[in-house]
Amino acid sequence: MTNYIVGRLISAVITVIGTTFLVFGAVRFLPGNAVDIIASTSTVGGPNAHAQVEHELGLDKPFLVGYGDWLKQVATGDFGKSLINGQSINRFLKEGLPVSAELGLMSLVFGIAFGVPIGVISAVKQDSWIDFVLRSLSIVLLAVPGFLIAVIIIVVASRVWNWNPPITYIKFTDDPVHNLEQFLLPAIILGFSSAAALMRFTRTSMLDVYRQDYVRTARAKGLSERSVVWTHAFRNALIPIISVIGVFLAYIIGGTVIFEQIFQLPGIGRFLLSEVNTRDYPGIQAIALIFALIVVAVNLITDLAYTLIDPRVRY
Amino acid sequence: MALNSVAADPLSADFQPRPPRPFIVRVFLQLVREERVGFWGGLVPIVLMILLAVFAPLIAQAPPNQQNGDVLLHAPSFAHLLGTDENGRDVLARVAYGARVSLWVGFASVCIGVAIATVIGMVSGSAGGWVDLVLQRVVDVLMAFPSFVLILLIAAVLGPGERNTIIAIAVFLLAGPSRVIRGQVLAVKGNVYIEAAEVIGCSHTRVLIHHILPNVFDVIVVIMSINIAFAIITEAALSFIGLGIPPPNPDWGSMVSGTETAYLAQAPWIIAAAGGALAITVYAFNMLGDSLRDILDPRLRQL
Repeated sequence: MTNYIVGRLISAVITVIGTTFLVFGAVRFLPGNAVDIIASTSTVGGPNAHAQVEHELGLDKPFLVGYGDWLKQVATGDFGKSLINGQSINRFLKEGLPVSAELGLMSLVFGIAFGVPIGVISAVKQDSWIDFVLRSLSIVLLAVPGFLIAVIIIVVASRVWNWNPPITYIKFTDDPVHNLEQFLLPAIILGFSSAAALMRFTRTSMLDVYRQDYVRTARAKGLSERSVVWTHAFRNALIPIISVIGVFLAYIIGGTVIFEQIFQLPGIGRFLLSEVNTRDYPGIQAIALIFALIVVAVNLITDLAYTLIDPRVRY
Repeated sequence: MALNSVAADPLSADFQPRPPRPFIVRVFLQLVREERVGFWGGLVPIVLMILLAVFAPLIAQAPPNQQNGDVLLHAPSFAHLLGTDENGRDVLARVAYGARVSLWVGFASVCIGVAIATVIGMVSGSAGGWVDLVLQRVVDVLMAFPSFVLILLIAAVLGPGERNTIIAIAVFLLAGPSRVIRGQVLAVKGNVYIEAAEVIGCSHTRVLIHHILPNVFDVIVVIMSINIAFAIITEAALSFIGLGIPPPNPDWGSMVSGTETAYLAQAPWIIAAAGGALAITVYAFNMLGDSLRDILDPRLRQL
């Protein structure tokens, strides 16, 4: 057990080092003229703008030296300055992270609240019309991307009720009710549209458990169907579901980037998009790294939780 | 009696084994024989979309980028079967030419990505040792990023455009598929026929290409069919946020985008046409992928 945990921790650390390598190294693949494009729009300005931009990106140093310097800076929590307007990246992160975290967590909760029960019902009523309808729903959700659902809902709302998503962002600390109201629609749509895979996975996992002997035993000893489904089957079906929560979260994070754009929420996802548009690499590096760290951490936690929850898994 | 004429005696001297059918024929016959609704439900829309893309110049009633100030946001009519957009461009033409972009990016990125993933997976699985260790840690790193964030990062470095979108999606597809293929190679490697091939002196390359590759081929086909839907959605999402195919090129993702949804609300036929085409295509590839997987390798259910 200890061996497994130590091994898993080491591999997580290696992965984190690898992600920093990739995030820093990606800039090295910039096409030659990109630095000139940045230099032309940047406030660094002056006759030696080109050299200055190269210096800021660490392109003027040997790869490992530049990487070392960058890593040292990032390790202290300083992501540097924007190449476009010279402002501190950390300031944007500080403003944007709570917004993205709120949207991401709410979507995750909605996604699980939709996906897991629907998957369970679909499995319990296997091959009935309810199962058919729910499975068709998951097939439709797999085919219609979340951003399309969001646009359709906004268009319908605007035509029918003359409602448009608010343009100004209300902070939670200023007005919690309006803030939550603002997040409700994007979080529901994002959670719901991401839930299809979770639905199918829950259904499969539940059907697997249904064939187990202990479920037959539970029925044979006369337990109510409700007790069989929820106490005996569902609790065991949950174990594999927990292992895919990390994958689900990664999917949600990808979705928040687009949804923050659609619903005008000033999170780090929308910041990432504007940074990509202006090719402001320090910001892109910072956010890509943060997202990767979150995914690595969640995967680590689910893996470790797995060994605690499932008594059959003993390393 | 009748059976005897069908099953020739394999021990008789003049027994001629029937040559194996080509892969595509074998799979097609099996899919047809098992009468899978999902297969036809997938194949028919895909063929229709390919026809739409190929015959786009004949189907379109106007060039996709031709602006016409007289017909701004006109509803569907005989002159414009799917209506016009905010610049008076024919929506049917844009959907048809958009099909070219979507299908091309989907096929190209998956072919490139999965082809390289196959090489990585086969080398990693067959070499083992430190080669395997290093390659798999690289795959770990790629898999640590949320798919869309990694693709954004690559697209940000390369810049927008069709070719760069293909590269970005292909790079993302190196990770997951190569790991699945590696696992498959490891499973195949344990078979006696691989040992036999090695014993009679086949080189590593020969074992890899003539003995392992044919046995992981089914898995590669399943992975490709499943990921085409992913690639098409991702391309549309990139174009939707303005980082995929740059305007004014026709593209399903950018058609439903628009910086303001105001005119999309005035002209719901634009979303219906472009969004419908996107959803039907993705649905079709999902269906086809599912039935191929069920036929070729039911163990891959979790993909």
